Amino acid sequence: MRKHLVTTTMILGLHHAQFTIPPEGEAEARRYYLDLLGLKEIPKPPGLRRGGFWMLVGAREVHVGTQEGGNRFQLRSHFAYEVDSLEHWRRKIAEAGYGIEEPPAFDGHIRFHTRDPFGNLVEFIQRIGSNADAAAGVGHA
Amino acid sequence: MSEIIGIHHAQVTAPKGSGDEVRRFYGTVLGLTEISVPETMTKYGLIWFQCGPSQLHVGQEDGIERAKTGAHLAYHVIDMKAWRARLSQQGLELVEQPKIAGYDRFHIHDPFGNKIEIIGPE
Repeated sequence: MRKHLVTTTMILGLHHAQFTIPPEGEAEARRYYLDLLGLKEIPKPPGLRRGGFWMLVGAREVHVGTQEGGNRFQLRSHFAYEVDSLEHWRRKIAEAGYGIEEPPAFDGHIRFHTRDPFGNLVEFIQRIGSNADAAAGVGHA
Repeated sequence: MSEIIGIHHAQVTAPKGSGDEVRRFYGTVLGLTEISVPETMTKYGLIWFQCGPSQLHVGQEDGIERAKTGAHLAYHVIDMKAWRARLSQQGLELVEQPKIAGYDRFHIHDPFGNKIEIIGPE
């Protein structure tokens, strides 16, 4: 943290990430993200555009905005949610009726991809081996 | 423990062949540190950056209109004045946003149309 006090012009990290859903999809989005994924809703400040909702993911916020149009199923942009029990999530997502894709593996991680009900690409990722031990030590957010 | 721990990374995309511009914008202009892409992933043309405790992954994708979506990533900074000056000097259009609960913020688009928020203390 000391570095941040000295160099105030650097980017500290991601403050939040926003993706969009169709305006009529809000109830379904709440079922998927709040009930199935178990993310916690946080209050959206007054005065902002109506529609959508905000959630807390670890130490960061994820904002769900509403927007007409677009084919989200085509897009490769995504957020990766970090878990420590990938098999639990693979089973849970499959049992909920969503498809599972297996992206290429890379060192120190296991992961899978799925699509939310609107086509947004969602990644689940788990650190394994020494990578997981290292992450546990820094209180990864 | 089976809950979601946090955001491990977020991925945005840029057109194929725009690696130099990706590095110029995210590495030089935003000042993020590039990190190595694992050997098994290099054929996908990915460029990865560290961003605080998370990572930003830039993938390649053609044929989509990035500027049309409100989806975005918000980068947390301290010195909002310095960032306004720095990004204006790059010729980027700064779109001011309503303040929220102690935060000052504005939007820009990266050279590929991805919306970006810069957010920091009032």
